[in-house]
Amino acid sequence: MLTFTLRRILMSIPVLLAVTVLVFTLVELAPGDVSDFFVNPELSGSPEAVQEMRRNFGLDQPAPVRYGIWLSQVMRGDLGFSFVSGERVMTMVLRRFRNTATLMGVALTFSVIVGVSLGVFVAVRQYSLWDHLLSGLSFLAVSMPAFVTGILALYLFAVVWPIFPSGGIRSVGQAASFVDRLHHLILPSLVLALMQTATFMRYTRFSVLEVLRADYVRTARGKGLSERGVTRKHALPNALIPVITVIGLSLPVLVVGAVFTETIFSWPGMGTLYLSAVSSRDVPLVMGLNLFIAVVVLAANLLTDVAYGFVDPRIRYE
Amino acid sequence: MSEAATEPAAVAVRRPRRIENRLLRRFVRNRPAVISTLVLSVIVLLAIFAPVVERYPFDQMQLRERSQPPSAEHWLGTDRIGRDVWSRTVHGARVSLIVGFAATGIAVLIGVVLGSLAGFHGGWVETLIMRFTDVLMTFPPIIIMLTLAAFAPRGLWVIVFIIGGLSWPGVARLVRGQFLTLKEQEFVAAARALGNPGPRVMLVHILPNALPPLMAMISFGIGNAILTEAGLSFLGLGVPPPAPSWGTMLEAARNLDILRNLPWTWLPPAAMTVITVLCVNFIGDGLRDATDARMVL
Amino acid sequence: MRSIPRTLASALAAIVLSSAFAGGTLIGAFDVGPGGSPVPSGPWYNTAGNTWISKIWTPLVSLNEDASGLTAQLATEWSHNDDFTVWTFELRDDVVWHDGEPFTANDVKFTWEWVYAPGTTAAPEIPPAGLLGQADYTAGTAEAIEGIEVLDDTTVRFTTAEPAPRFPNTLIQSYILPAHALTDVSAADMRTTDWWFTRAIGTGPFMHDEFVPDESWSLVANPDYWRGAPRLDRLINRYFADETAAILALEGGAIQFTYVSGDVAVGLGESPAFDLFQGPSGVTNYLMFNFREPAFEDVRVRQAFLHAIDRETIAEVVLGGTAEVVPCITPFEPFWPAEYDAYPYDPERARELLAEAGWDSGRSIEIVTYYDSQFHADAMAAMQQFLREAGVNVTFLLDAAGYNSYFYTGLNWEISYRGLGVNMQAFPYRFYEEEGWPEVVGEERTLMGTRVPELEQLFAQARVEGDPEVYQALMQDVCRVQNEMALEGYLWTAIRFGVASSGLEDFYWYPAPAGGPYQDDAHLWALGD
Repeated sequence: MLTFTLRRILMSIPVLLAVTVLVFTLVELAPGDVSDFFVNPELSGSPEAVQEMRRNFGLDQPAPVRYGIWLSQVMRGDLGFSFVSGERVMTMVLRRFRNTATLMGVALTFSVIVGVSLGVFVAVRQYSLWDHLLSGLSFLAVSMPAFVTGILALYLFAVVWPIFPSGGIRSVGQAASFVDRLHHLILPSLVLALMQTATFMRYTRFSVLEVLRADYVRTARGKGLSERGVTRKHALPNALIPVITVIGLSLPVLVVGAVFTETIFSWPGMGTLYLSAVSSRDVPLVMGLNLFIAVVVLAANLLTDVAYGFVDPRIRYE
Repeated sequence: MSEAATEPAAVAVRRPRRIENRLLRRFVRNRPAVISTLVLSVIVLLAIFAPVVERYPFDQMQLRERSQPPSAEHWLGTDRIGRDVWSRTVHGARVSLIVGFAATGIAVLIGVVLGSLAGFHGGWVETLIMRFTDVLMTFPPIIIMLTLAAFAPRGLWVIVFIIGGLSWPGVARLVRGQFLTLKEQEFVAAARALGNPGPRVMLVHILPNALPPLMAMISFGIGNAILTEAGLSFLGLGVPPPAPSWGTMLEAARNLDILRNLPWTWLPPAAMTVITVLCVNFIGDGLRDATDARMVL
Repeated sequence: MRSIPRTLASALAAIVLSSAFAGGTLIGAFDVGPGGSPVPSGPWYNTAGNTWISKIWTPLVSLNEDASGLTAQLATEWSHNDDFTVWTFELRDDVVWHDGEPFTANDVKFTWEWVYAPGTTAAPEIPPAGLLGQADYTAGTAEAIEGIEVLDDTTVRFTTAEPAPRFPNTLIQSYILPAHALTDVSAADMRTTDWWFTRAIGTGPFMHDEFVPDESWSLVANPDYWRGAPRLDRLINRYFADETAAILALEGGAIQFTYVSGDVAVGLGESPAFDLFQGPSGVTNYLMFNFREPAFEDVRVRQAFLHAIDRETIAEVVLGGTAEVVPCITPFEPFWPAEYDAYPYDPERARELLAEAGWDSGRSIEIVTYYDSQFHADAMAAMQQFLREAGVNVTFLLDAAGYNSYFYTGLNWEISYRGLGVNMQAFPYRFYEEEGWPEVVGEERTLMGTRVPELEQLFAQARVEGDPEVYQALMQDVCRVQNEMALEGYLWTAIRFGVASSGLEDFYWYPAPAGGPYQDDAHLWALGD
């Protein structure tokens, strides 16, 4: 297991490098750079100031040199400074990551618990009214992107019937409170969770049905175990193993959802940070965010595989 | 296939025709998939005949009739500068479907070529292609798409190429997998033994067999491409105005006046996006069920 | 990590206490919309957001309450020599910094020499007029700025490099910084230092308390404020990513003030729960033609654009009456001549003019812009349609980030839809002058690719003209020339709005360009019952 993990980590290094080179090239090819952001379109900003700024940011160096400088910085654990705010990229990313992780964590927990429970619930009632109803709804849910559910949720629960705040992670001007945080979290996290809940439900249903048809379950039935006992003791543990993979692989989907959810609910997370970094051509921030996201996604994939190895004794990693 | 018929040996390696019929029959038995096919056909027809079914040119302003709720004149009302929402929604179907089909076409083309090469050749070609596929698959494509869309010039076809150019890894993996399975099967072995050249075996004997499972993936791919375009447009990085993309129409709802007072301008594109993707997903599901069953045969 | 029950208990306590706690706290979204700065940075790096900045730091002079003139802040009075090159400012002697140290003329000198030290790139929206020896100092060839002298603790003398009749007007965003508190901060780190958000010290009515990135900046009352202690205990600026969230927060009672765009402002203003503040934006929206394109050198083409676009209807209907059509670049009526060509909507005339000019109707023109709000999206869609009816095909290219690279460095744009903020006392001459952008456009042409000798002559006079009436007449001449030539496609100037809860007492807001700063008597603001 250890060698497997190590090998996977080593294998991800070229992947990470490839991602950063790809993004750096894209950013390079585009017209304009951060100095544009600072020249105020409405009044001030002189060409001299622009030149000075480019020198300060090292933008007068050729692109490969800049990539090299960036890479050697990263080797030393330093993602550099944002062009726009002058803050350390690492500080900004970690601060936003906390908010995104909260949002995703709550959404993922909700969707796993509700999705898997509903999946089992309808699987043991295959072709019942519940099965048809929930399966149909889950189909609707997987076809609803976060920007549609987000706008709908905002319209219904913050405009028409304003029971939830329209955005932000907490109220300001009062002592921090858990209730207040939760109040702000409910709408965006449910929006983010919806599609995943449906996905997990569908996978769980499928997986449980597969297992229920399997020979060893028939054997268990044959031994005279009650249907409930069969499901709980034999079918469920085996059926849930493949679901773990789906959960592990859901991270990229959540990242996508987070970009929209954070935008609609003014959530100060990585998605909105990425959008503003890209639109202000803040190269160190764009690069840092990409690297960070790539590391997180690769780590999640690795964790999934390792977890899979633990729960399924049939799988051996060499 | 007619050419194959002139070769006596080839006849033996052809799959029986009735399997296709069975596939169709299985698909037809899936009621949601059939209904979805009908609904999607209507949407496709609306998109094709948009200039006919629209009541007004989609970008025609009628400032005296701005911000009007749905009426007999304007079935879905008008937006803030008096453009007919029905006409814009119908035209939006064009944008969505063009992106959906064209981007998926590109993705399938790239995926099939790379997947076939990897599956047929093996060796370093396979390693190279599959490593590259892994890179793209591990990273959420939307992140690269956002970067690309933000840094590239705006345009419908730019979006098509961005989405298509980054959506092929799934196809490549599937095609390669099919190749690895089919390569060992008797009819392929037979074809090769008869001295058919590699590309020909690939084209005539293996690819058609990989087609059924690919069909489901294409269907889901179209749904994904439509969602991605709408999403990019929602973030202001997609198809530029005046082309009425559903995502752009929905994005306008981020303005409070429009969100609160003009729901008829953003509900139709939202509903159309969901309905179209729902149909595509149902069809994909039907295709997968039908083809999965075939694999068991 | 705290246990859940404890967290819940503290939450309940917070709810019980919150009414008492919020008694003296005003929360506003001061940095939403134009005039606000969503990315806060040091006061000399902010090109907007001055409404908020001026709560902490103070300039020598600022705009008055409706931006029609100046008000003394840290200065009490000022005088100048005959040719407007030497300006002497008397300073208040009763001002202390937030840490109790007295404010003196040395702080003023320190500020200039810190801000213009070699290696810094301060960029306020309105930079102060250049002082004698300032360029040498920034270049590192002089030890100090020759043009700033401390005469005594309360007197400072500026000598400008060239006559500057409206010098005080260029000082409104030049916030004075504490010499004693910045000794350990290098000028080169001015942009990146966290001093602004952790240890900031100023002379404003409120003192820095806590800055939470992306969320809020919280200030407490400065009991020693030289105009009198503020009535509020606490003033908080809440950051919102977009206007919709801010307005919904206002409606929900989470904040008491925000900027709102015209479309929502009208509805909110009718509600008794809110007070509407409004004023001219000081920004003119216009189409800048690139004269490097031969077609736009023809005055008939430019005039045709003005006749083709129904500007009155867009201002009245599309923009809901929140905008006013302008005859030239300045949005201030006193600078408009008595008579000018209104270029009324006349698509027929537009087609004729285009035909005479030999316009190629198959041609498609790209209009670049950085405006991404719904307000401008509606206006652009309307313009596109009007122009098409006159036989001109245009597409709008929105590229907020790349805009300036097309515009300033690429120079290959055709038309730009943009806005120009015009301070009544500081006309943006350089947009029309050959030397305004030498590195970009070379010696021969201005940013728009042409020279207008008549305008240049008027500017040369206006620049050094000290008599306000003569200055006004010169500005009217400028407007007349621009209008006749249709040098640019002058469209409209918008009204901007802010909305506050009606419960507030003596709250005041004005949409000054870049947020001012202007006199708003923030120390008198109070929450009602």
